[in-house]
Amino acid sequence: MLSMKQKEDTRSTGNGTLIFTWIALLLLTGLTVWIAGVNTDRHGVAVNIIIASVKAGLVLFVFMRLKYESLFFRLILLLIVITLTAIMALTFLDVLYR
Amino acid sequence: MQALVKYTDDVDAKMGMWLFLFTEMLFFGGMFLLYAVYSTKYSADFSGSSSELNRVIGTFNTLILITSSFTAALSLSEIKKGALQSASICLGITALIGIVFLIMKYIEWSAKIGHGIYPGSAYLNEMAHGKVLFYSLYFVMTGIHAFHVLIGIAVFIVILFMLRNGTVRENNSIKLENAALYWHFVDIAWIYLFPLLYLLR
Repeated sequence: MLSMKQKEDTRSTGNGTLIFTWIALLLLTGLTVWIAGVNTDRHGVAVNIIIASVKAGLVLFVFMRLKYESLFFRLILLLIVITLTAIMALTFLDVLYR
Repeated sequence: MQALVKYTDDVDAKMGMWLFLFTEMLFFGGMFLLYAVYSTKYSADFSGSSSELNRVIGTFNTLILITSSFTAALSLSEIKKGALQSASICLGITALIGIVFLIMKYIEWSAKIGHGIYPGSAYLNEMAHGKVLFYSLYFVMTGIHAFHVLIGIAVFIVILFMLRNGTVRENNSIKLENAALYWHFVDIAWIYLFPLLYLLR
C-alpha cells in the first residue's frame, strides 16, 4: 500500500525547556497555596486566578506546542478566550447591577 | 487496478483535536460561569465550604497532574527523536499518575460522602443554600474532570499498545500528539479548578 504524508511536524521541544517549564509550574502552584494561606480576602482569589492563567499559558505554549503552531490556531484560541471573557463580563454586569 | 493510497495529514488531524478542545473550553467555561456568579452571590457560604475541602489532597493532585503533563510532553519529545523506549516509559508514567489522581479523588469523595455530603443528600439539603450550591458545583466539576482523566488514561493505554506494535512511531506520532494535547487540556482545567474550589477563603 502506498503511503502519502502531508505536512508532518518533526520539530521537537528540548527536554531542558520542558523541565524548566515543569519546575516553573510546580513553583507557581506553591506560590498559589502560599498566597491562599496569607491572604484571606477576595484579592487573594483574584491573584490566584491570574497565576492560574500564567500556568495555563505555559502549558499551552510549551507543552501543547502552541509556539510552533500557525497564527490560525492562536487566533481561534484568542476568539475562545474573548468569547468566554465577554460572557463572564456581561453576566457579572447583570448580576451586580440588577 | 487502482492502487490503495493511505493518505495522512498531521496538520488536519491536529486541527480536529484543537477544534474539539475549543468546544471543551466552552463546555467547562459554562460551569466556571455558574461558579463565578454563585460564589459572588453567596461568598460567605462558598468560602466556608471551600475551607472544609481537603487542601492537602487538592495540592498533591495539582502537583502530580502537572507532573503528568510534563511526562506526556516529554514522551512526545522523545518519540520525535526516535527514542521509542523512553517515549513508552514516559507515557506509562503519565497513565500511572492519572490512576493515582483518581485514587486520591476517590479517597476525597468517600470522606465527603461518608459525612453525608453528596448531591441530593438530606444532610446537605438542610444546610445554607450557598453551601448546597458550592457542593453541587464541586461534585459536578470535579466529577466531570475525573471522567476526562479516566478517558485520558484509557487513550494512553491504547497508544502504549500502538507504540509496541509499531502503529505509533517516530514518523507517525500524531495519535500520541493528539492524546497529549487532550491531557494537557485536562491539566489546564484542573489548574483553574484547584484555586477556585480548594483555596477560596
